Amino acid sequence: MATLTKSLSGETSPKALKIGLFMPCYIDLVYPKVGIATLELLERFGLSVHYPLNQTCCGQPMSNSGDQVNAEAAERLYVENFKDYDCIIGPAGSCVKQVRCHYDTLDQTDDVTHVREHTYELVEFLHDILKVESFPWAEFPHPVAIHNSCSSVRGLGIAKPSEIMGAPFNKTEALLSKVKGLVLVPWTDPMSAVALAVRFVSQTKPCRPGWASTRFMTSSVMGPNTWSRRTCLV
Amino acid sequence: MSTQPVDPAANASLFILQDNIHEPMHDRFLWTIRQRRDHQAMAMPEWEELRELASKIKEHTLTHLDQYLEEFESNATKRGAQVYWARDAAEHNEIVHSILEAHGVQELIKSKSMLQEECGMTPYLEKRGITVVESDLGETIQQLDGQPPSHITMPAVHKTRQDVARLFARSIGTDPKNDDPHYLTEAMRNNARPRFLAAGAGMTGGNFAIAETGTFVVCTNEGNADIGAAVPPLHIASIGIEKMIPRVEDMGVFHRLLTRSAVGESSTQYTSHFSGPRKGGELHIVLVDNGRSRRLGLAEFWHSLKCIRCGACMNTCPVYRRSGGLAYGATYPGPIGVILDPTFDEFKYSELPYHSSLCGSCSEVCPVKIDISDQILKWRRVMASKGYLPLAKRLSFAVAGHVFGHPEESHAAEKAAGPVLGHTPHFLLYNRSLNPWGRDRELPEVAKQTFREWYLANRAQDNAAQ
Repeated sequence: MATLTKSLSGETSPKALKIGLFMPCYIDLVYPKVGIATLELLERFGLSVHYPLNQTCCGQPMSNSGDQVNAEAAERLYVENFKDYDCIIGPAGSCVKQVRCHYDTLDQTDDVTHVREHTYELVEFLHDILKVESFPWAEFPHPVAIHNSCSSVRGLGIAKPSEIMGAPFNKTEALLSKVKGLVLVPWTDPMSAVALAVRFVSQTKPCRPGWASTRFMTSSVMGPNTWSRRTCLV
Repeated sequence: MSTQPVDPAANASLFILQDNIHEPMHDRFLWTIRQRRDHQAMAMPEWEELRELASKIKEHTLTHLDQYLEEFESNATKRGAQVYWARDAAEHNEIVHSILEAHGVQELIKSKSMLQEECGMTPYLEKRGITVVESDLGETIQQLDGQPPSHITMPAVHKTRQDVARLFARSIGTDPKNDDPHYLTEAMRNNARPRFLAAGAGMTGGNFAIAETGTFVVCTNEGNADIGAAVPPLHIASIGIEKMIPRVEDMGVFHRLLTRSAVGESSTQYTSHFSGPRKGGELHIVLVDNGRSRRLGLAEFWHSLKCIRCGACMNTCPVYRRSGGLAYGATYPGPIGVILDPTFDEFKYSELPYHSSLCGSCSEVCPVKIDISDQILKWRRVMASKGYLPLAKRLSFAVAGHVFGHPEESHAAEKAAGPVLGHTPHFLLYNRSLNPWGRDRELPEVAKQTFREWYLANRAQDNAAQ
């Protein structure tokens, strides 16, 4: 159920955009370095990024269990925190999907509609809105296999789902292919995460399976410093 | 209403933990089928167009169902069939029984039908002294083992060859050490054939019912429906009212999608169109509602009626492949079952919508584009609103719902979470009854400094300027 966001109106220069940084709760608490890398990456592009300090959680844990009553306060707070930003960017597919696809039980006020249409996953933002052509500062001389999350693929349309026929596309891959030295390795057996893990570990020492594309993305395009910082984490 | 909801997670762990053979075999086999389906679909440039067309035809038919049903009845009657209307399972079973009784039939041969399964027809008839012989091999295996089908098109897919060899040795006296599929199939064929020939009536389901001609279409790979329809003088077909399609030419769309989606083959081995009784025979068609018209009235769930029962959603589902179909404890297992079963009994099947990772593969693989994954989430909303969430979830969500709505409390809790998680004894965090999800998992470690803390220390001046 990929949904489309609204592209930004007219000639707005990305640098003039007021960007809100949406930090999913688990990244804040467990993977803060992904958050830092996301922020630093956006800053590299000269964007003006703000992190609203009152944010907590998008409501996904409750909402995914169908508990709309207890999800509502978190959802309202998200809308309140981000309603004044032109773009809201978060480095996690399922959390962005939660806002975009599942804020449907709130009253669809202008503010709610605005945040639903303008919340982007980092890869989407770089690929679709910023239309990044290169990462001139980045170099990552390693083989890389991509694992996009289900929410990113089928919820946000970041890559062509394997079930759907037609020309393949993969926005994460398109971006990573612009990083100097990085070699994309096909992942031919989606059945076997173990096979992937083995391939990862044998070819690139610091890698571990199960990384969301964005987390990987931020690490690799930020360059070796961030990379090593990121690897300390796992 | 039943007193205890089905517990699919507990049932699934029985399947997974029984040995290290069944679950991996099941998982790999069904994934192979999914891959075969991909190859078939890939070979057809118009695949996505066909799915869209199939979805539109079904939506159109379902929104004009009254007209098409009457058109079907009138055309089938013109061709000499007798058409009956059954409001529910009980009426269906009574109608079938009365037809058999009127013809003095003692033994019935039937081909696998999910609708007859749904109506509990076999036990109903057997209680009334009628012997019901199943003609589908997989279904026969399940019947011999006293189990319902675990998959809607491959009823015994959770069993290994060795399981079948042991079962046949027990039930029809084959060599328990011989698990050669040809040997076992031949043995069952020889065992069943005389009973097929002796049956007084044959029963089938119907994959599609064509309003324009009053014809119904039955697709099998074993030709078993055909022997039931062709040998005994009496043919009874049970057909769900959602099986209608308007025209013969629409079959072109569904026929191309059905088998490719189901098993990754271009067509079923046998696709039979039944238009009226054969010479000297009788044809009785029972059109069954059994909750379908009520489902048609459910704004969020009526699309589930588009289902053509191919089972592609099961083959692709990571949860189904690892759980086995019996874990769902319902007529319809897998993703489609998760959204159909609660329409029969919300409480009994209240746990089924949680037996999903919401990965969305089912919706994308579905040949008639049912939004299965979205409907699973919507069923969770129904279950939560009725208070069917487990106590632990209800309590923790009430707390989380409040805390996440109040940033100051949330950030205080976050500060506390690190040390608390760090010091909570392992046996408490991973207690089986307190946290069943903790069983085969470890919590990730909480970072020493949260992103928010880092931001306050390194970028706070930016925020002040906001």
